[in-house]
Amino acid sequence: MPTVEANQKYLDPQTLAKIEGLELRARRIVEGYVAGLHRSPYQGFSIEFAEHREYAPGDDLRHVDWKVFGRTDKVYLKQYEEETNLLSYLLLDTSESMHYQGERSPLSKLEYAKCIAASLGYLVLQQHDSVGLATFDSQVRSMVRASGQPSHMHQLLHVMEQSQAEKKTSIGPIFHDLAERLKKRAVVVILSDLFDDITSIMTGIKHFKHRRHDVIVFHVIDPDERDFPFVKTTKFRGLEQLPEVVTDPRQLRKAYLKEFEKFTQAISQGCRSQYVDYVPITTDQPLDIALTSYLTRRAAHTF
Amino acid sequence: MSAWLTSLFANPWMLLWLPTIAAPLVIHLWYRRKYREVQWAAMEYLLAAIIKSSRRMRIEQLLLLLVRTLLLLLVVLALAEPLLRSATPLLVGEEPTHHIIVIDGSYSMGYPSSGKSAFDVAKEHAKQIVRQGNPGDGYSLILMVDEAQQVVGQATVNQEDFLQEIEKLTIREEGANVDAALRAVEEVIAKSPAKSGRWKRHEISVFSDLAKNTWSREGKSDAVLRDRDERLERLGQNGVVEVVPIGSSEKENLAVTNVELADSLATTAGPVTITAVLHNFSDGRIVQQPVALWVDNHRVDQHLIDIPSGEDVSVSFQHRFHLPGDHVFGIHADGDLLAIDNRRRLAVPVKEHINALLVSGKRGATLPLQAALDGGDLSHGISSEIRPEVVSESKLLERDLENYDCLFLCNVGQLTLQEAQRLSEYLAAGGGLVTILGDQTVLEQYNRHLLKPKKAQPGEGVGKDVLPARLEEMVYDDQYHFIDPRGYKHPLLSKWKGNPRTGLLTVPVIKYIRLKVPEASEAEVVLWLDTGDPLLVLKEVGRGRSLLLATDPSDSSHINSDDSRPWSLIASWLNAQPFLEGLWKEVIGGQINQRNVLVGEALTARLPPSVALETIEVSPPDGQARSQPVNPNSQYTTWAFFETPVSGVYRVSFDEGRDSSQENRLAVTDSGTQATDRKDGTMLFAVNVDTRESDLKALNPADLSEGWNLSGDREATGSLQSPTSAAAFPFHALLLWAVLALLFTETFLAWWIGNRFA
Repeated sequence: MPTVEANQKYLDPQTLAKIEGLELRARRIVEGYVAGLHRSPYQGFSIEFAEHREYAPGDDLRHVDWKVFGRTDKVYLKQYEEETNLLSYLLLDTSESMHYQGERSPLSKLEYAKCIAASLGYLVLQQHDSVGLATFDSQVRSMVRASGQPSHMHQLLHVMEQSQAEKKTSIGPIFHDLAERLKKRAVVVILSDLFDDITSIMTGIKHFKHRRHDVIVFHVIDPDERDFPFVKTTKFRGLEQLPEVVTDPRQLRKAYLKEFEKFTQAISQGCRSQYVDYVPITTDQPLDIALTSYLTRRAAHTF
Repeated sequence: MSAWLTSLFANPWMLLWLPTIAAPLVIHLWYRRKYREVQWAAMEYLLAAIIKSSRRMRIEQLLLLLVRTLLLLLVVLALAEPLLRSATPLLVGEEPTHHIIVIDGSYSMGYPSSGKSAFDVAKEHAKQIVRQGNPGDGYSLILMVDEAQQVVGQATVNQEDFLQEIEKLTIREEGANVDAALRAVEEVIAKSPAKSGRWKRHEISVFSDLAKNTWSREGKSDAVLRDRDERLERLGQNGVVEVVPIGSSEKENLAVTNVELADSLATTAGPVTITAVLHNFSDGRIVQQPVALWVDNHRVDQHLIDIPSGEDVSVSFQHRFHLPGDHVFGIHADGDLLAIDNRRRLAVPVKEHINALLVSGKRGATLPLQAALDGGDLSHGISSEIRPEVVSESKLLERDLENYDCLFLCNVGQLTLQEAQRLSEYLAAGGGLVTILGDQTVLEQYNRHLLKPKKAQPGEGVGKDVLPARLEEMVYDDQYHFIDPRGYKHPLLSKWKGNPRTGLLTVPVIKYIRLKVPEASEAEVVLWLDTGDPLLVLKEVGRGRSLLLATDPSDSSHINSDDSRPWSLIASWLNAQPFLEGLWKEVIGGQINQRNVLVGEALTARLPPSVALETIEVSPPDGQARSQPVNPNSQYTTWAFFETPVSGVYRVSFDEGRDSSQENRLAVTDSGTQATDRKDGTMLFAVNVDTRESDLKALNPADLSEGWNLSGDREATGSLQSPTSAAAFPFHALLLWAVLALLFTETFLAWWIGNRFA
């Protein structure tokens, strides 16, 4: 059994960056993660009985536990069959801004987000749950319907590898669009830097919530964007059709950090107010954080 | 380099670094061009930050740029050393001042005090004034000597040049004249373009030791004093006339005030007596002062004398010359702090004998003189120091009078204008003339040709300045008249004084010519007759002396055609010989006067007729020999040399040997008796200081008249502030401090701006 250190190594983006191929990366992450657990608290949860619930008018009669009805003459529904077949949707932002890779980060935001997405997908499929994928920039670029087949992984990886960072994000309308498209309740995992109008983003997330989806927001940020460590005069070439600026970053740092803090605060508050899991994550962090966050959400969903 | 720049900065060339102050700007722009480029995702927030911070950033950057530029500017300015003396030029409204600096250049200023002469101290003070002046001020410099010298006449604004002029200033060996200095000040003001409105104010600073002989109002005529006061008042209207007393009050000085020969001429025939007069100008008695006699740069004798305070003491030496020619006596009384007046020189042309020309107007008129001059010494084998030569009056014009030390006109009837001209020139060149009147004398002729005409009588304007008195009329009253010496006041009579039995008072004069000394004449009566008429009158004419005897000592003049008695019985008087000897000794010596002048006076002489040169060579005591062109005349050649600023022996050389034929001719015609002293082709002249300036007693500054403003703060010699510490405002040092402060500010500012966001 690999040691914890060795496992951790696989979760480190530095290591992952050396590994070619998303599938391999995802496998490393998940195996490293799972193997690193001393004892998985979630082992076998998807096939066990969860609870009984009293029948309510309109419930599907197929879920009635007839054995209980036979013994107690009361109508209860067995719920586990339905719940264990968990639906997860990975919404991957592939806009141009996700292409940014700071000097200190081994991976660009998009690559990192892809790693998370692939890992989650792999993990979900390992758990025999269904996972779907949507990539978007200014519109939904590709959409893979959710499936629990192990071979589904290949499709996911293919789509992800095909997707390139381009164009401008407009997250709000896309969320509305996707919220309409996802009929079944699902865990919606948003992987994005969320560089867009906060209000429209929040409206989009609200739409998901309205559809009773569980939403996890992985806010992928490059450490440079968080710390603004530039010293010399720099020409900043704006991604997503924003203008160029030549400036002395040292003098701007404070103001920038304030702006950025305001932005992350707004996102985090918005998410919290809607009971959405908000996971800020920088591209130099080990990937287990992403997985842990997901699994926690998954567990919450299960109970 | 323009003058105002040099007046503003000590090192104006350093201003060439000024373009470097653009360096921060250039670096800033260059850094803005040289940037790294990144793609940036979170541009939205960056733009927001820029919009919010751009104003503050710009201000901070400008501030930093300003500090860095100022830093470099101050460094460059500090290197250039601005010459701001005080903060005043920074204020507007200060009008430029014209500083006229008058420095006393008399030799009493050479008196040292604590290692520095008063003159040097005065120069330091003057420099201080210049350094404390404001940019734009003008400066003039006047050296107060006998004739005030305008060293910098028209005002200059260039302080550096002016300071150099002050530095170059040297003390003179002369006295000082306050009135001449004030005149020069007015001339300087007139020269400086005050009318253009440049200088409204003239500040006159006079640095002097306030020597009494220069500054005292005593002994000056009212006209001079009034003139001085008026000048002071005029000068005071447009500024300030400030007197800065220099030097300490306690001064000791001993001076050799006079050196002369006891007998007016020196010959090789006998010993020469030299008398030196020393004056003690100190408050205390000087004891055992060595006084040495030097002859031609060799010390030959020394006496030790005591000199009471404020008194003259005479010292006599004897010396015998064996060779004729020019010699220089030097009297050295060294020892006090003011050395220049401790030595005095006397240039003496030593002759083998004295040549006298006796012009006889009548047979026998020269006999008593011949007897008195020869003295029968030849018969005793003793060489006489005087050689008389008798000629008739018609031969006067044929003789070159230059070769004679004295000339007697004995009962000469009349003299032509040409003869009068010759006599006048002879006197002016230092000759001695004794005119003895007699029965041959034509009074009108004498008066017309030998008397200087009065201005009121232009018709008689032909006469020459030869006789000391006008001949009025012949006086005969058939009575004996006797000589009245009136207290023997004249030096000529000193040997008769106290000896009533010499017979001076009992020699009868029967007939004489009444003399009238013109009013305001410098002539003095030596002897009178009991009638009250002058008998013997002396006048200095030029460098020579003219003596006029109103009666005839010989037997050649008769009372009238019937009465053959002589005019006087002097010839038969036992003591006629010393009396007549006294006459020629009184008039000769003018040649020594010619050889001994004061500092600043011209050296003049005639060249011997044997010398035909265009230039002579003058070697001043301070070295470099200079050529001086001569002035050829119809009869003889003269020369004059005016540059005698220092005391000492001036050697005048003329190469006689260049024209040997002339010399041969001279030898033939002059029978070898004349001009022996000049055969070596050199003449020596002694130039001495005017010892009036040796009196160092200073006027009490409080006794100055009202026109002078006394400067109190610079009075003491020791209190002179060093020019660098206080005189010049150390502006560049202040700049360097500012640079240091800015360096810290810049470092802090750069750190603060760069890192407060880190």
